[in-house]
Amino acid sequence: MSINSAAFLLFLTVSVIVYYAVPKKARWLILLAASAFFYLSYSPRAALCLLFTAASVYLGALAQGALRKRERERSETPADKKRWQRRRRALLLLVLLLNFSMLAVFKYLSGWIARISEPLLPRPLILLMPLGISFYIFQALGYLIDCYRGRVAPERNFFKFLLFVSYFPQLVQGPINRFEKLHGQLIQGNDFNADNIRNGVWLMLWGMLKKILIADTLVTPVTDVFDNFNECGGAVILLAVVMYCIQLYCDFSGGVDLVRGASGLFGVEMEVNFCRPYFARSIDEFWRRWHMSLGEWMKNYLFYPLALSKPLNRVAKRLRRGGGRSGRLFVPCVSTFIVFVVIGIWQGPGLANIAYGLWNGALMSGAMIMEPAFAKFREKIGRADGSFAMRVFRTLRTFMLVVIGRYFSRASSLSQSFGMMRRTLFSFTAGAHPFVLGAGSWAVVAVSAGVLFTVSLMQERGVKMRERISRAHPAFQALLLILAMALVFGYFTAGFSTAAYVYENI
Amino acid sequence: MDRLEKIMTQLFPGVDFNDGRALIDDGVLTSLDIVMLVGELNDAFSVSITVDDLVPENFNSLSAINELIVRLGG
Amino acid sequence: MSSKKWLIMLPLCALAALLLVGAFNVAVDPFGVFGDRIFNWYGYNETNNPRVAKLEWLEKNGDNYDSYVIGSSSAASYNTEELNEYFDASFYNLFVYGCDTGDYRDFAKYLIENHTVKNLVLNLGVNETNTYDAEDDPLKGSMHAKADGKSLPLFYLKYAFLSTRQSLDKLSSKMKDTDLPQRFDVFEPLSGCYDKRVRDVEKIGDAEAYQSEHESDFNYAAPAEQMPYIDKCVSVVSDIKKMCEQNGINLTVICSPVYIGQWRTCDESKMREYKTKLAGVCDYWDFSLTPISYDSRYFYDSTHFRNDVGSMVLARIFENENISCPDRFGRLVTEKDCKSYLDSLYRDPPQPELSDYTTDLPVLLYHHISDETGNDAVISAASFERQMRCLFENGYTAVTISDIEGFVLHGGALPEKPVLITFDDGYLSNYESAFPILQKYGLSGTIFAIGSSVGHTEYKDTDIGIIPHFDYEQAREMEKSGVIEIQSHTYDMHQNADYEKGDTVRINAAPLLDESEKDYAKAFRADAEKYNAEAQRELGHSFSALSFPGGSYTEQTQVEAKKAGFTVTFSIETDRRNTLVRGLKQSLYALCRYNMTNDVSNDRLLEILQNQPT
Repeated sequence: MSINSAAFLLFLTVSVIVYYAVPKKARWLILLAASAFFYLSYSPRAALCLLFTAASVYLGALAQGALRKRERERSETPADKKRWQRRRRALLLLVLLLNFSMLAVFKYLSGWIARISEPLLPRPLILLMPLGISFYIFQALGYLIDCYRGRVAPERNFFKFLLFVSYFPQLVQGPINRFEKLHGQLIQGNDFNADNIRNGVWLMLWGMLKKILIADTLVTPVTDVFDNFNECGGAVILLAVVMYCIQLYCDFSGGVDLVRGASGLFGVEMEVNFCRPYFARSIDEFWRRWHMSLGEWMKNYLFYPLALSKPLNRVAKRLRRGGGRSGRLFVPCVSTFIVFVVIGIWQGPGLANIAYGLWNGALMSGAMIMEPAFAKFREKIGRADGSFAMRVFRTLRTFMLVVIGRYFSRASSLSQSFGMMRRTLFSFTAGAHPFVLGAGSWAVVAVSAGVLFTVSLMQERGVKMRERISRAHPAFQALLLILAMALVFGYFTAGFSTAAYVYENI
Repeated sequence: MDRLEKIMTQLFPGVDFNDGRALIDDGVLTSLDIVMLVGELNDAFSVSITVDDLVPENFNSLSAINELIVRLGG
Repeated sequence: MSSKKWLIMLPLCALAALLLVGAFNVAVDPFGVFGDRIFNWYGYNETNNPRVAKLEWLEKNGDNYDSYVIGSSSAASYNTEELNEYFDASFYNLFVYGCDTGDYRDFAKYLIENHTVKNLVLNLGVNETNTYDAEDDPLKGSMHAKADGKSLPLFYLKYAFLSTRQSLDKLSSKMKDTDLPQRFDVFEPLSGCYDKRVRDVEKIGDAEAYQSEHESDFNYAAPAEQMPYIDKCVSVVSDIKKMCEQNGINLTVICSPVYIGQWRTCDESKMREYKTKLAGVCDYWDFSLTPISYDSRYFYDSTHFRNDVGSMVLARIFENENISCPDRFGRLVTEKDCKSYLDSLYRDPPQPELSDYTTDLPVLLYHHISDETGNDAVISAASFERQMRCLFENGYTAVTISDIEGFVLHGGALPEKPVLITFDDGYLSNYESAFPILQKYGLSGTIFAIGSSVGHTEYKDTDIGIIPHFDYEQAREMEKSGVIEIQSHTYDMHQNADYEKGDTVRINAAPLLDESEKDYAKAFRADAEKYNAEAQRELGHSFSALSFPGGSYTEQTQVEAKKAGFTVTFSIETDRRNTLVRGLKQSLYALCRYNMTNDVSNDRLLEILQNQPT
């Protein structure tokens, strides 16, 4: 069941009705049942991976709790304490390793496994990525590390924990939720609140429209240019990469809006994942507004441990002694670099992804190192930080840097990235291979993107759109709702393919 | 406390730490800033701030940071 | 508005949105299931799903027909007008793609229960034994509920609440629609056949060029399993035969022509089983493997034979001697003689020699004959005579338009070394110089005269002098001698831009820039009708051949020329061989011609006569 389907809408409606129909105490069971149904409808085999993560992390967390208790009760000397801590750490690493290995097998080794199994088995072994595996593994391991750090108490009921891992709205594309924020909402049994339904429905519609009107319309022409970049002029390539930025944002944030809205129907508020990232004025800020839950996760579980790690700080200490800024900047720069390379690797195998990580790491470090120079420059041209022109300039510059990054992240190889850049820079022409988007589709994209931009701008200025709509005239609200739903229903129902003309070449 | 304020002003010129905004929750300081600050604090007060201490509550205001340092024996 | 009220509004709005979507789809009706009242565009609907839309067409217009063709897309090549004549009936071609015999039975049953049926033509290929009861796409490949007996309300719901993109596609296609078929409207609603106007004018004479242009179309990939549904297919035929017998319907079963590439993938024992079991159920006309199977020019692609072949099939069944068919082209197979027929087919396959059914034809092009040196369109009388003598001395026989028509269309013969001598424009010098020289060497020629300048020494409606043109008196004299044939170079589509007063100038017969297909068709037809009427009056015959002015033409020019009754057309291209193929009208279109000048030596002329493309 795809979340962009009439079947999902029906499934969701039924789940919501049943959720509020049963007694409060049993409501979490409905969520668990719905999640199980949702996941099994995808693939029962993939559910085994999810079960493995849930079980290993569940047990790992319980063990953390138990060891912690013993550590408190039974350590008499600091050496005792250290020993218990070492055990806890070893156990943590074991569970982390198990789960990350599973992720790595699916993410990086599946091609290799298919190749080597081909001569050995009757059919090559093709491992398909289990749905949402990155997201639930990250989410579960975040919880485990929190248990390790003693920040949350382990959940004792396996099924309640299973719900935290398998909660269906988060399974497709995140967000990566934090246990302390999500878990209580899942199991407490939320009261029916009409506001939640209204907000959830609007958010779902908004997300779906972003996805179907903008993202889905752009997929084909963008893919076409990336696949045939050798025939495309530089101008077309640049256009395609910019369109890809728009497509990716609308697809990803639209999908997250959809699932956050769906979750809201049950009264469960999930993490915010996007905060109009293209309005960011620096790369640093961009990353705090793009895929925010991943950023948070990386910050808490990778960046901070790295930044406070002993080896890095020993070097930093030495540098600080020499005075100047290098001592100050060493730790954040190196940690940032590592985090972004990890994010690049996480995106998938291949040098282009690593280059994408390096590009972002370099930008962030560069910005930190160059900041005094930038400040001087701003002073020189007499433009204050907050002036309108400066804000616009910085926003556009940041967007441009993001666009350049997409040459790496979307390309299938590093040579493709560089090839496309070369063409953009040195043969900036229309070329023979155009960006193929019909006039009607252009109109749809332009109008929708215009609406999206306007709404985003209003939100930037602090307007709460859903509140404002709820204050509008009821007739307006009804019309808006009908329009949005008609667009969604019209696009969602029954498959459509223009390519499906049977007689293309009679 | 004065020393702390001096370090902070030096590290983050142009930021007003006493305007009532929560330094973390209101986004005055980013994680990069925190990491830089922690290095400085560890050095200046001879404390050892760990990952476990890196929660917003400990860094939302000057006094919270001060409390953390005191708690860690600085 | 309070959240509570909003919550009540939500399902109402959802309902309204659904109704809106449904109303839109019903109004635009991209599958034609709701009557398509606004667009009435069955060419599009049938392209989307022929099963559904054709049945809907019959629901509306069924009274106009009393006979039907059932089969897969190869049955599209049976022309309903020809069927009407042979059967004295009014046919609708109810073919659908997919070769699914389950659908054939559904259709036969539906027709008999809901419409008047006098004749049923059932066409079977090889693929009918490869598919049964398959539905590859729930929207585009599904059967109409009225024929397969599934739930009608669900059927309508499915098409009311389909993606609006389907309807939007119909709207945007409507804006792009033109008279000629495009990928989104490939059907002729009235007959139910494919609209093959464009493919039926493509040049196919030169075998090499045809093969290289259509290479991928003839790479037939056989299905993994050989003919698994022979019994299903035969039982469907048996059911249909029973239904026909019970209702007094005349059933004709045809096994359609198979391309050799596909035939060779079929296992002999399976094929024998299929043909034998079929003969056990009913007599059938078998055209599977015939001499035409061996030449790809008789096919659109490896599984579809051409419309011209469809005409040959019907001509064979109805013994129409006027249309040329090769020997061993199809026969009626009965249970009794099935085995001996198959034995002979496999023992002695009917592979023809190229010379049995094709001939190369060089065509020479002249204009004005004069000793004044001019341009490439002028040749001196001496050079002309030299070239004619060369033809004569080397044993070439000049042929006429009706000779080559006869070869292609009616099975006539051509002399061993044929050559066609043509003259464009209709200059007086043709009468004064060429005519006597041709006569002298026993040759003949075809003059393509421009209608508006016949008998003129000045450009029409002006007093600007031009090279003199012969008049109808002289034309009649030439035709009467049997040496010269007058044909069309258009009445007035070869204008001189410098001398014309109006805004639109047609220097040739191709569409003007930005001219709509409709306007162009009208202009072309008017010109042809005017000239034909004048020729009928002055020469006693209308025209069957057209030389494109300036050699310019488009697909549509050829389509319109065919419609206007021109069976032979000439270009001035020289890039391919002129090969005439028996039975294929298209081999007479846009024939290449070599422009003859003083510079063409006898040696070069002999080279050209070898008909090598340059």
